[in-house]
Amino acid sequence: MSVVEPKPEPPARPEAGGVESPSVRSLAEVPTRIAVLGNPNVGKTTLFNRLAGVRHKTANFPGTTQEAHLGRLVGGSSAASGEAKASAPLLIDLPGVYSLSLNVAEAQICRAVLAGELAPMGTTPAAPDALLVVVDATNLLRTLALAAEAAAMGKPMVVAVNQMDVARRRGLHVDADALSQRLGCPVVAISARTGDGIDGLVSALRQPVQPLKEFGGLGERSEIEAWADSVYAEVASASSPVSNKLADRLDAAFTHPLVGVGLFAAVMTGLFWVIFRLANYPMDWIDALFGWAGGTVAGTLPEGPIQSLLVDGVIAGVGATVIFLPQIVLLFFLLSLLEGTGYLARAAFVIDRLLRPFGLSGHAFVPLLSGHACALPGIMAARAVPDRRDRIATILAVPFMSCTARIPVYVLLTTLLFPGRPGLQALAFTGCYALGVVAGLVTSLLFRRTVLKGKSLPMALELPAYRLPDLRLALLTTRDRAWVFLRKAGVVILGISVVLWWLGTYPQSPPPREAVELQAVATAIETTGQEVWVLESRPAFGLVQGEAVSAAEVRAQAESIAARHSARRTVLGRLGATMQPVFEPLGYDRQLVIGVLASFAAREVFVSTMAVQVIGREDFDEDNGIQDALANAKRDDGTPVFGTATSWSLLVYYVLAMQCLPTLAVTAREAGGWKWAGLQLGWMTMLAYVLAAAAYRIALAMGAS
Amino acid sequence: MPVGDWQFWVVTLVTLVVGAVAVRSLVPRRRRSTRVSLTINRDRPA
Repeated sequence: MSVVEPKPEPPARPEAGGVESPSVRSLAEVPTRIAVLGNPNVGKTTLFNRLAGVRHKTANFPGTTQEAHLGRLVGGSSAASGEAKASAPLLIDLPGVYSLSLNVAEAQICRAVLAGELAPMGTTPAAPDALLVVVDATNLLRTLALAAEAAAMGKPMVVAVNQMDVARRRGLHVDADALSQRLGCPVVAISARTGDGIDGLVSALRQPVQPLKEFGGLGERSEIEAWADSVYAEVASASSPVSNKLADRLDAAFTHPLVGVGLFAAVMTGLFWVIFRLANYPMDWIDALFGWAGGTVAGTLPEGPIQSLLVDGVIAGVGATVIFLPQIVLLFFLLSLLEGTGYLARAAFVIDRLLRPFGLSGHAFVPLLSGHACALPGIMAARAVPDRRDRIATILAVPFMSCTARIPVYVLLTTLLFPGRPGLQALAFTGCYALGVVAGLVTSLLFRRTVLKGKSLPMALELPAYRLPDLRLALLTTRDRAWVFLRKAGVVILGISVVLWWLGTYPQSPPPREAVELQAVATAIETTGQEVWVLESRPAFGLVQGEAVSAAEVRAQAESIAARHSARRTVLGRLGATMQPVFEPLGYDRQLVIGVLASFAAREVFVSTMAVQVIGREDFDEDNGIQDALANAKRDDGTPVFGTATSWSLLVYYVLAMQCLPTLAVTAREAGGWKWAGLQLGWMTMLAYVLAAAAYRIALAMGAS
Repeated sequence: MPVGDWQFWVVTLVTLVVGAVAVRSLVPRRRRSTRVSLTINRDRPA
């Protein structure tokens, strides 16, 4: 079937109904604002990207979590440029809806935008002067009803019949001319994925036509459906029986209670394997880039507070955030590709059965999955959960998933707990992930039975047709998500890093007597140009009798003592000493409390904070000796900082505690208020505190040190 | 505090500004109402 091009002139219409001529019903000028309306899964966003190009903006509708894509009508082969682009009609991509009259957030937003009462953030609310309604050629009967509702609003419009390429392959034929006659406005057959018919659609959008007035009489849902039935019978036909045995077989496997779960596990294992495997390379590059930047700045600027702020505050803080970008980008890219194939809808169907007992729906599985990379995109992905209670329960459960920021802490603690026993380390590592998942599910169950009590909406899920994923759409989605992550998390992390740097630097104190004396010893050794033997052990100086030491070793020891001395007297250090009694039941000493407090905003900061305190250096990842130093670090009373019981307690604490300020901010935004963020913080902190204290006591009772 | 060191004042000022920007980005802005009362098929423009 060839793609049906739009007629340059508005279509002829039946004379019945006393309506005016098409020329009167079309706009005198090119519309300035066009709303794009359509059912979910009709390829609306793919089409929008075709029409608006890659330079469109993504914004939220104010007061909602619904994203709005905004762009200028610049697509097609005769794409405009320069000034023409600026004056091109504004396209507003509305949320996908099955009906405008439904009492759901998406439909409310559509109604408000169409009435001119709401506009995406950054634009002035104004009623669109034309509509682009997208219907699906492979599912025309159901998607036609929305076109009828749109026509009933009386605005000039154009209908795009999308997925004509898929329909053609299935032997389906849609007569766009006949549909145009029935609607009274231009109807263009297109394939947003391949670009067929886009030029014709762009032309038609420059001259949309008001549909027939008879739609004003379609009030009841039954009348709309009856109209859709009659139109469908007239405009759609199948040249061969519509059968898709392969799709049926795939559906049977993907939605099978056992096979489906197994396939889901295999797909997700593969997804994470790819993410962790591939993300390592760009993560290393980013790490090296920020290391180089830090080294360059340190080498360029003279030593002092400004250099320290830039290197230890700004570069280290931003680097600590940006290093997780590859995982986030890969996660969203691969999820977008999977979604494009139609598999994710099947997976959600299967997982729904597993999550229901915990008060979550199948829609929650993508957020929970994403939460294993980072809670921020996980919580943002909860927008796809249609039921409000389910959505908030999902948001509250996501931060329990073990995100990549926890990994450095897990690595440190499992290595300290089981040195030289990788099998047990891996087991403990897996146990951390399992504990997080269990805690998330229990949290959901608890809140769904208390503050979020109420019956869930049954999961009504459309299983879209299997198709090849749209690479362009996946790339654009990934770009949007990456930008949101960098903008939100980057600003917050940068601010927190700088503030923590200041609190951990001031007030400064002069080096202690031991450090001064050691520096003098180092200078003396340097004058001899040789190593010297330690004649007498001086534990306070880190010197052991009979060992040979160089000037550099002595100087490093002096700097380490000075750094620890200084760290205790900073605002953060004093705060640690003050708060230590609170963490006493968990087995934490002053140094650990500083590590916990410093990592309140970002948990991955714990490792570097401990490294700074224990040995006065931050190069934990670059030097295995630092791990030994942490393992041998002593408290003020001479006992190990990381005793076995304390390490178990810390492990449990970091699995369960919030320790991520950006997550709280995103929770407040996505759940619709700071009360949810407060509840999340309170619940997670309390659970972490109680269970970490229990872990500490149990470990002590079992004979751990 | 090294109040005699001009660098101290620069980094303190930068910390205050960056901290304020971070706090501002964390505090939710006032939301505009989304209450709507459009009835499909009833308020069609003339």
